[in-house]
Amino acid sequence: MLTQVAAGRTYDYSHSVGRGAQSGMGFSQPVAAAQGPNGVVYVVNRGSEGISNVSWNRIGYGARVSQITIGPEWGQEEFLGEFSKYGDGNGEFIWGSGVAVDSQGRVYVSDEWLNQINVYDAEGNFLNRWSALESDDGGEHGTANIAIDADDNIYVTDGRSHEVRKFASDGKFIASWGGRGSDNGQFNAPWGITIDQAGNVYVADHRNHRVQKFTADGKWLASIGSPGAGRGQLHLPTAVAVDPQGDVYVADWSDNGQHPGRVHIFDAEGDYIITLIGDAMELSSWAKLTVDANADYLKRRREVNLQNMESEWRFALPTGLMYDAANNRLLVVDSQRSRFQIYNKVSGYMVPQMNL
Amino acid sequence: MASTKKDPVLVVLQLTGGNDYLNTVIPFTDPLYRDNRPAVGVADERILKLNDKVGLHPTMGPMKNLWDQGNLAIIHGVGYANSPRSHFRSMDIWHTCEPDKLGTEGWLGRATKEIDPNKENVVTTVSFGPSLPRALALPGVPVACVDDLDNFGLLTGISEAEQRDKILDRFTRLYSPTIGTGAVMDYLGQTGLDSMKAADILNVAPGMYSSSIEYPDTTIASKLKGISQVHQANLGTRIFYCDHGSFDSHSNQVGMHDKLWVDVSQAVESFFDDLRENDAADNVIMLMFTEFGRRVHDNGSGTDHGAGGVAFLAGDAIKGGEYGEYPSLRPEHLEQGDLVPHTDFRSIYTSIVEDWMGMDAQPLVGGVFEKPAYF
Amino acid sequence: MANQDIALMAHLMRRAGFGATREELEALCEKGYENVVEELLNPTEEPLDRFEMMRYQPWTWRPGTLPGMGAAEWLWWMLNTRRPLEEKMTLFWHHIFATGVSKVDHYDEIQNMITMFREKGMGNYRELLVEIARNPAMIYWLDNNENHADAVNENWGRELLELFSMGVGNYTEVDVRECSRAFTGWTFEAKLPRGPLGRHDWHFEYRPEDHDNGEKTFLGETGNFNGEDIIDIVCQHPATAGFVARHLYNFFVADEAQVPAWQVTPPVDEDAIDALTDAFIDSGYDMKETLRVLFNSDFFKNARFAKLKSPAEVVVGTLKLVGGAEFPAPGIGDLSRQPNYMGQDLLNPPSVEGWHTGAEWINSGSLMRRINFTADMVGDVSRPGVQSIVSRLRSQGDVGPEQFVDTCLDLMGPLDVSADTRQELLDHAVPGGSLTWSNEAAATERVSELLQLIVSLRDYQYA
Repeated sequence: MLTQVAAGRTYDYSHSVGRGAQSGMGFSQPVAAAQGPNGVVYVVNRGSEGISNVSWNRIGYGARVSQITIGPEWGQEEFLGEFSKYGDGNGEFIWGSGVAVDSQGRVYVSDEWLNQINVYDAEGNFLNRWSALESDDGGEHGTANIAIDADDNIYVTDGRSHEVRKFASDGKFIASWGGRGSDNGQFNAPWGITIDQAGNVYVADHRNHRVQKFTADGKWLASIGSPGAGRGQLHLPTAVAVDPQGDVYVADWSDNGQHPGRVHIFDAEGDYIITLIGDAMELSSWAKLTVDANADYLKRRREVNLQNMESEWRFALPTGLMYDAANNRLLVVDSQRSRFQIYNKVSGYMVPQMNL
Repeated sequence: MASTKKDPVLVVLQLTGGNDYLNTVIPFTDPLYRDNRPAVGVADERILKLNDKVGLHPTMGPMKNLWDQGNLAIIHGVGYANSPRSHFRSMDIWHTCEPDKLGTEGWLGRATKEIDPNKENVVTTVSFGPSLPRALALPGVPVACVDDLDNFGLLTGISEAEQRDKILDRFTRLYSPTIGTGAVMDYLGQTGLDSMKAADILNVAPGMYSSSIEYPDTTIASKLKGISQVHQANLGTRIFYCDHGSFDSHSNQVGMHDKLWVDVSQAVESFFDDLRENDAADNVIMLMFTEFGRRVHDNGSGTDHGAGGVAFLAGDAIKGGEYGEYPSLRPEHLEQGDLVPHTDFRSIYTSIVEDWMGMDAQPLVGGVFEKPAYF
Repeated sequence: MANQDIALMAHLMRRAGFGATREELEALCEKGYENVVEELLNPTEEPLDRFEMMRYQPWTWRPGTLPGMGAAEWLWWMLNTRRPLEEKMTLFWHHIFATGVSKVDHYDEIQNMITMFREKGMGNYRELLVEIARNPAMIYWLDNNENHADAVNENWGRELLELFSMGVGNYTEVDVRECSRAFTGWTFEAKLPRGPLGRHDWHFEYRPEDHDNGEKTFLGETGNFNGEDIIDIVCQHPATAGFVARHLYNFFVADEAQVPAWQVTPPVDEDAIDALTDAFIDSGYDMKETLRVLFNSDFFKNARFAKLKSPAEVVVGTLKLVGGAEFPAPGIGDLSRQPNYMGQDLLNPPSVEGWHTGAEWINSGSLMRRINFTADMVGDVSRPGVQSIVSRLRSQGDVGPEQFVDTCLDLMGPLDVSADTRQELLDHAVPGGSLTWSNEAAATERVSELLQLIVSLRDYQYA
């Protein structure tokens, strides 16, 4: 549905950005994105292990942070550069998992294997890194995602120790909460995290199939969504975003047959509004470059009839969400299709007459 | 051996992933090259021109030296009909010489059997890499697969030398024919001892080796250095195999292709310098091939899978020069946007097998093919 | 606990699964052999949740699958499943309906086929044949998409009879032709190209306009047969039951001659094949019923160490023994390529004939790989499974070389070795004297070394 209207809100599908690429103009298993004050969108590419017929081991292929700008319309995106790569040296990561930008424009990338936060300047130059653990307790940890509040406090989820930890911007530990369980305030494999304008913390509680809302110091406030595959029900939520009006966006991996993944929208009270399933019926400009360069792709695409295109336009395991408040739009990191799908939140939308 | 004539040796360097022909040997005077390569085209002034038509990629200076010495053959438009544009399938076709059905036997596996039918030398063929390429696969034909020559052998995880020697002694006793019952146990015993033997033979090579040539610190250079060490140890190895990649430059081709060819060119030059310095070059040739060339038109940052490609033969015995025409880039001459190959890869094999290795090619490559005069 | 019980349970779990730790074996023995067989046949544990792996290794499954992972996703299943026989049967069918990326070049489709084996592999063989005939990867692998009403391609039709059901010698060239005609029009829909946004699934499609509707005579029966009719006739043919039985025997019981030799080489154990054949026919081609007869038979129980481990069994069995590989950690791609280095590239068999098994797994390169991989694993004393072996030894206190060797052999299987082999191990252990724990590091080192020597044994190559 290219335009979704509900509860006085309208979400207009805008366009998609990206294609599969191990470097340069495109993404490789993108899992998270954040925008800096400079307008640059930083995209964490998870990458993959090994490539087809190379007979020695190559891991971390395509792992990097892409720097792009995304214009208001199709074809206006620009690839600026990329930084970091697979590894455990300074500025490198094994499992890039989350990204956030502080008030100074510094870029923080979490690594859920090494449990470290790498800090870069806005251009991607490595500044420092610090442990995202409270203490090295020898247990299992996975620093899944990262969010930064208005005071530059840093919050991370830990998907393997089932908690949220809060740090000062220099990495000094402040607090933690959670623990494994399904009660209010407990988690099962928490993943996505975001902060609203009031400083409240939202966590995608992946294996409890809900989003939980906390105060900045971890006091439980509310739970959003219920488990299930129906409309407004969550199954394996991965990411959460909140817009300035307080609307909450939740990406999940709900398994709709061949096409896993939706984005559910709730209002500030946690009431369900509507669901997006993906609308990328037009190729992104970068994807089009590939198709245009390959005559056989073009021919085969023409041969495939329209109903078989569904697997291309739907979301496929979205794992990141970013609300771009300056432009009133939602960017969905459509991970398995190596792209963003972008929706404009339109105000003053008039529904056309049915008898038009 | 009484004969003073050295046995001919073949080194195969597989450029895995589909090397981009158009940016390796560049038809720089053809305006269609520029038209088709808006994003990844190589600037004219950087091209290492060989004549008034083609030039090498700027990072291939060492290869240009081989060319200038007359020891590099550029084989244009190599491939076979109906390229499947799949890495796996294309590589299989090159390995098995079976473009029309699935083959399980490798052409060099067959060559190994021809050279050493009684399996007298377990290192007749040595592959540098963890797994056996299908080119070398033939049931019952031993091929040594070496990951790292300095650390090749059984139970290499036991680092303390004296202790490892003790364990290997025990291993030899445990695998000896006196222990074991039945044909399969005996076979396992013999095979285990063969493994020991191959390791023992190859392990001496680095110790016997000395050279003033310093190889670069790259994976392909260390493989070629290993090949040089084994070759110079005179262990009777006739076929060496290694690969480098991935040349699968769908994106960011400019930086990637540069780096790949810097590494390959420098390693190949070091290899031949090394052999020459040690009077071991005259009986060695190297074949460099890739499973397919890439699309003529770039995709904005790289190139996708194509058909016709380029192969190289290098060595003192090679008659340098270009072989065959550059395939036409004109749109009406392309197939699915790809260069159409005119030289069947099996004709290169045929030349190598007959004119270099001195064997009958037909049973190895599965047919009769033209035999260009590369030697 | 009687050692023979443990030995038999270890045998069952090696064959019907990928092995088990000593702790697991002891718990299983408490349940009793026949009950464990029933649990294997009717697993009550939930299947794995693929998204647990996708959470950390998103490149291992569709639609964003990237090639070159070997079989990381499958390795993860084999290591973690609580339904081991289901997974072993999945491997069994992959050996038989051998389909490879070398031609298909679409990992997802072959992984989909593996999933189908997992879901239906212990069900009815006739249904499985229908599924495999409709499977897009198989259709492409054996060119049935090129099998048209007006231009018959016999590849699928022939292999259905030769390699998937009856075996050569039971049908004529005319039968191959008629069988192939019946499968004309069985193809798949065109799909979007994999670039630039990742792969898309294939879907089976039956095109009636491309199906040869003429009369066919197949194995003596005449009618306007379609593919499913052919499968019915094939299933009813007595050769089919014998063929499946012999495959089961070769895979689960003891090494047999290889398939191409079956026409001329009688089975190792005719009675066993007869028993399996009867069970297969009596149950209406039900795999579970046939497997129940197999695992409860004396011929199975007496076949300990009667077959060589496949590379998949070496790698998965070793990882299950040493532990610590359950989480899909970085490096799982490389781990999943280890069977390839030993001669079994999962999802990429060398041809439709599958892998040759038994002694044909072994050559000097593959043997070195097997030994080095297993030795490196059991030599890593930080692994929980190795620590468990060490702590069991430690709990015995200081022991003489003889008990040291015997305990290690016991904990590594229990492994049966010849008297000569045992003597060699003893000769190796004696110079070090008793295993004493006053110096724990030194004792652990000795254990680690002996374990590495044990996995290097020829005897350890057997399952």
